[in-house]
This record gives sequence, C-alpha cells and structure tokens, in this order.
Amino acid sequence: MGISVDSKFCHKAWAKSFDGITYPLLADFHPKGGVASAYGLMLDDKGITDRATVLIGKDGTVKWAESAGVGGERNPGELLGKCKELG
Amino acid sequence: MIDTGAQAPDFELDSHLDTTVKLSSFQGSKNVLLVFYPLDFTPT
Repeated sequence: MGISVDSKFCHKAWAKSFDGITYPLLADFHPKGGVASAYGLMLDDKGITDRATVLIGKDGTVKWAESAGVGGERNPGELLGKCKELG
Repeated sequence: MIDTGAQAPDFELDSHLDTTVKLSSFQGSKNVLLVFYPLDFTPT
C-alpha cells in the first residue's frame, strides 16, 4: 500500500493519472504525517515523509525497513527479494 | 526509522479507493508492504 501526507482526494486525482491504481493509497493527512511520525519517517522541517519501505509480517512486527531518501530511488529487485523471503 | 523486529504501530487511514484500512486487520493473515513517499505528483 502506498502512503503519503496527501488527502484521499489528491490520491484519487494522482491515481487517475495512471489510469487507476488498484492497491490502496493511504491518506496520512490528519493529523498530518501522524503515521509517518510513528514509524520515524516524517520530515518535520519539510512537511513530507521520507521515501521509505516497510515490510510488516503476519505477526505484526517489522521484518524489513529501508529509506531511499527523498530524492533517492527504491531498489525494486531487493524489495521483491525481501517479499519472497517472507512468503 | 523504525527498527526491524519492532511491533508495527497500528493505524486506521482512509484510502483513495474509499475504503478505511486498519493495519491490525491484516495480522495473522497477510504480510503488508508500506510504501512511504513524499508527495503525490512528484517523481518516483
């Protein structure tokens, strides 16, 4: 699932620009970045969240977490590998 | 950033699909991938 501080209405418009996104885009909008803060990923000085990926297991614990940095890029291959490891 | 092995903080948020997603509802049944990104309409 995607998550940012945008409202669901902004998410809807953005998803439309891709002809729709089938997985949920979550609105961490009010209180702004509340969830990102709980995960230590809110950049308070910028008002946005870090570009980061968190993999959570069925037991509700964090199995893997990585930050790419705001201007960075994720590593899809590594990400896919981590998901496969978890099964 | 949250540590590996930590309990993932629960949340309940609205989605663009007009659903409400509660993280703990997946516990025991599904793994969850949370993809945080800075803002909509910005480069991936």
